[in-house]
Amino acid sequence: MSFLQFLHEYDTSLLIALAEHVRMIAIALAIATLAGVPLGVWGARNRRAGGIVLAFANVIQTIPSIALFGLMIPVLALVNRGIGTFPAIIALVLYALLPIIRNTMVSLLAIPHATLDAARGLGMTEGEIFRHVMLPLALPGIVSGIRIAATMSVGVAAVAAFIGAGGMGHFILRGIQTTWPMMTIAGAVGNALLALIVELLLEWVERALTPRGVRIGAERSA
Amino acid sequence: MNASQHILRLLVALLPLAGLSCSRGDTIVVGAKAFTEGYILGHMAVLVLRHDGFDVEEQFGLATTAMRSALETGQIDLYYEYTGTAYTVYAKGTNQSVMTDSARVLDAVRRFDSTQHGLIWLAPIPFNDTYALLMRKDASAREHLATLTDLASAINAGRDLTVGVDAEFYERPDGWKALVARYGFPERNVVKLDAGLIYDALAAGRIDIGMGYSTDGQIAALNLIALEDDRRFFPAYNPAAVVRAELLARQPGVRASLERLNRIVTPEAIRALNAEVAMQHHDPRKVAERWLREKGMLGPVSR
Amino acid sequence: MNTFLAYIADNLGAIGIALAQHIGIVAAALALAVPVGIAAGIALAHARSRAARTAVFYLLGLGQTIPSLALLALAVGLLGVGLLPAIVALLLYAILPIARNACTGVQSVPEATRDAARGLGMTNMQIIRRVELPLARPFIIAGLRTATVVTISSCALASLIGAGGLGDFIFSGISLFKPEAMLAGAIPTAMLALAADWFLGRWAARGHAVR
Repeated sequence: MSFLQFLHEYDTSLLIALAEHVRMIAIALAIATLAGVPLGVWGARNRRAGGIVLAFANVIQTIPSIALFGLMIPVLALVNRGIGTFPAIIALVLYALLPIIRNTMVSLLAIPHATLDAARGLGMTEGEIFRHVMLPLALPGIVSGIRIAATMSVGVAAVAAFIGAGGMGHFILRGIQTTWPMMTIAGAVGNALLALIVELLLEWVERALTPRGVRIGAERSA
Repeated sequence: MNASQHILRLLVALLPLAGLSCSRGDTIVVGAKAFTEGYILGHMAVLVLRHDGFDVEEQFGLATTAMRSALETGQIDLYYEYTGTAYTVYAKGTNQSVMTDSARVLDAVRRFDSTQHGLIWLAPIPFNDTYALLMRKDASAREHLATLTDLASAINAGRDLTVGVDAEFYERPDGWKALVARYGFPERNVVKLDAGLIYDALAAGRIDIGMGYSTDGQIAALNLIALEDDRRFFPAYNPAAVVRAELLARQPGVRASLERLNRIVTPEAIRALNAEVAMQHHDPRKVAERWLREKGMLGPVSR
Repeated sequence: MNTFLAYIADNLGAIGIALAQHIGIVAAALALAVPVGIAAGIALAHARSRAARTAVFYLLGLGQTIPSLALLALAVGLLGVGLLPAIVALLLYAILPIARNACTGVQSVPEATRDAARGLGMTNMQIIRRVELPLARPFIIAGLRTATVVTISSCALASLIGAGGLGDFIFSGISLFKPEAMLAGAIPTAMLALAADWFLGRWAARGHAVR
């Protein structure tokens, strides 16, 4: 079977897998962002708490993905949600937290004191400073953290096929189960392409969000 | 702070989104065990149910016991399970004369599941897909091995034979550890690997004996033979749809729909379909659909 | 909890063997990936063409987007089942972080330092060994740290292709829904990764303190 024939034979299954994969990652990233950014902000204000949060996220990151997915089965079976996309999304969120929290903290802490002092001098309130100065300046860094998390999630989600989450990993697995390299390659290539698209897309968002003044400086220094 | 309150509210609103696919009204969630035959049977079930007007969703590709627990907890509504597997692994049955008798083992799991778990076994499809320990024909002739008793005496005589099994079979109560105990030989040189890779490893001569399923297409194609289970260690493994009782109460038509399959899925048919997926690499979804159409199961063929 | 402890007690020997296999596979993969990665990183840092360097890292990065699961499966197609394909797949996976960090580390050495070394009459080889490598050490260890954690983690998947290791327990546990077997594989794997991370972190920090 040639690659084109393969695409024809598996057209429906491939599209379903792709949709499952993208959906899983999108939901996981949305949750991880909504949880990770506030945690990062908190960590930047309260260094002690930040250290603890980072250490915790770091430990999660070292747990092998297959082990974390496996752990989800008995734990979430308690609420009858041990298989499928639900546990996969929870595991993906846990993995995605570290880069998002870390980048949020680092970007906020990197804002020069002089900038903040200047804003205070202009009579801005703390809330205004956060919204109009700190957030815009930290945004590219935060998005960069989301980008790292997204690219990583694409790969980790492939392993989620073991707990019935479907996605491109299902093709890799089926390739093994039926000793058919082409299917594994199809899954792997699909995964790589998806990672690349996500990376380029978020890189573009990151650049678009960088305030113009900062951007010119960054380009000069690059 | 106002902003964090917003974020928190959004978070709470988003959480159930993750489980959205699980919330269902009258949708039937069909499961399938993660191997070739499991996928084919799963797709067939989905296709006939859909054809008969039911609203169906797939949750395929889980290993044996994960699928079972999903059924017990209502995360899925039905999937095809094998009688011997249910008897030994779930009901923890050990009675040899029950488990090797197709009718008695079905009776036993039926009783166990309806009383303990609210699960109904529909009529089984009449073929037996048993575990088999496979060997290359030439090697079997050379080593004078035809039965598992032969294998036991060869290993007891110190013959160096490598055995490939998957992680599941290794641990199962009807699996490798128990088989070794029953036939009375020491466990040596066991390689654990995915079931799909065992045929390649056998063909390449990297292992001498490998675990397989008796309805696999590769057995004939790769010139393998199954060592005879002469002490009747393995139970009967007839596949049947196991359905949650409340689904049957709500939608009794499911039974008739699925049992239509039993008339056409013969041992020869399933072997040919397994081979088509595993050897010719066709999509199990399409293989099942083409075949059911051919058999006139999905209504008049269009075109 | 009791079933878990009973399982551990029953299978202590087997878990020990699996742990030893796991460490063995990771060590073999890293033993090859570390010299190759560091050498590649140094060579790339010294490459004249910046475009070539970018291109090589881009390709390596692309390779990294292939899930380790797929790499393991593809290695089976070329090398059969067992230890060899597992080690080859894992070592390929480990090279990128090591090479990239080695390259960054060498590039971080100020040109003035290199000039001074040349002024002392050092040969290029001597500069690499006595100046660049020591200065790049924190970067190299950081790369090794990432590579080690990733390799320990991916090695759990190598069980699927017949390489053994702690993944055997994880997969048995997943397919038979035996949390005790799953945990008997998952906990030691996670501990191994954490221990390696902590140990290499300490090692990197000690290097800093000395200088």
